[in-house]
Amino acid sequence: MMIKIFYILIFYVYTAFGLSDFEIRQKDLQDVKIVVQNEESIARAYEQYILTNYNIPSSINDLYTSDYLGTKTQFLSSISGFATNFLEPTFVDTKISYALLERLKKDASIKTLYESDTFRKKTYYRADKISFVLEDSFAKHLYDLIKQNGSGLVTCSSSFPNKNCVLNNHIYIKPTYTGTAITSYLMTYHKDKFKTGPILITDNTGLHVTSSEFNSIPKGALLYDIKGVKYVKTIAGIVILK
Amino acid sequence: MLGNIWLSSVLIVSAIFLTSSLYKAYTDLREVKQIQEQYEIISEIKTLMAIQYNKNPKDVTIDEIIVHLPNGVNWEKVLLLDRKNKDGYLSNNGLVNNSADFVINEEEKLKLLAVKVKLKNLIDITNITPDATTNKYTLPIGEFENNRVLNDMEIEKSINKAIYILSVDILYSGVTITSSFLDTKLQNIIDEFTPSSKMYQDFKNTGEITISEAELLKRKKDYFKSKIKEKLALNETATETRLYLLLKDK
Repeated sequence: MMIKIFYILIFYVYTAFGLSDFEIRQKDLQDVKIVVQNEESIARAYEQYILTNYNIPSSINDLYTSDYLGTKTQFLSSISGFATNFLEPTFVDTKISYALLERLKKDASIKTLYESDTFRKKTYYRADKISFVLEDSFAKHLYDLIKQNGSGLVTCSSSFPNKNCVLNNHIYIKPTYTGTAITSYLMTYHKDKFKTGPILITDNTGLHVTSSEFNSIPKGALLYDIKGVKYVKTIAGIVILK
Repeated sequence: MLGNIWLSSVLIVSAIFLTSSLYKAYTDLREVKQIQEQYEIISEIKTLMAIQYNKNPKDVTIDEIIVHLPNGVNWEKVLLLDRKNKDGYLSNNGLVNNSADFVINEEEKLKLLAVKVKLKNLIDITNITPDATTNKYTLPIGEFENNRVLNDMEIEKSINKAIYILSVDILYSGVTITSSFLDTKLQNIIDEFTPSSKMYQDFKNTGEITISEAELLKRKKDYFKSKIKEKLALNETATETRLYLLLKDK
């Protein structure tokens, strides 16, 4: 009789408080979806960071602020028992670490769902990492500049001659200074006009051909040299307009 | 007297048979209605998810449905399981497989009939046969609305990914760029990113009736390469402009 009562009690406790197999699976799947959404958030925050700081975030800690992802605790708190099933996200360049730990990784169906594009827009699985592509044109432009520069764009200062920089929403490529004032440059443009121009360029036409920076100007952009001569960027190079 | 007793007995037995027959008919009707409702609901969910996630309904899996079911409700039994086996007892048998299609044993004639009625206007149901080993029918749910526009979007996404990886590997990796390096890199990226299963275009030349699988794949890769170069030629970003200069003659 006692044994019977014991079993009934166990059954009651299980049904009242425990999770059924279905509920466990549903939680696992919903957690995977949240993790994927978090990875999408990291990709968006990475892009936003570039646009705001003219630099590439060096680690995910740069994004754990109220401007981007919130604190780490806030960011990961939506999944109970996160550490049991998932690895904390990190990234190198535009590749985020693979999140699934052993138990979920062994489940072929969950692994497939995580690696699929079902919940993904900006991110995608490739070679055991989650990669993402920048979407905003200006973010792409800055990313290219920063990579060519070897570091983020600084605020223009005579302390950094010939270093690509930003001043009053204008981007300066290889500026030179007299005192504290910028007196020449390879090119400069307003950040909203990086695609179409007008872009002010040096009047040294030799540099138009030899400096690789001119290769980055999109086709069709309108250019003026510092003496007012008008050019247009074509697929063949920089062509003077007569 | 005996005649009356006999007549009463006959009437009672007939009434019992009639009642049980009516009850059977009622439960059968309920079962048919139930399974047809399940078909409708899963079909609807598949269509909604297909729209939301840019895929075709046939690619929606049971896990993707489970992840969207509300918590704390017995949806597993309501939607995804066969609630009653052929003996009439509650059971936990799977009714829906991993591809979110119905799997019904050939002995369950009534359920089969109910789903076939739903399918008869959509596909040729005479072609549906049971698995030779398990004797179970797999009946597709909501798989008949496909959209080619989705494939175009997938091709576009693959082009963007390919261009991005090319820029990382060629422009930002710091390696010395040689012609053979560019050839290898471009070919590797085309091999990896060509979305051949999404490419629905007719790749046959005029007059060709069939082409081999290998030739078809080659043409798909050539097509994908041409699309990458077209996109680069637009010179929309600094990266594309610089990549175009390096890859235009490849």
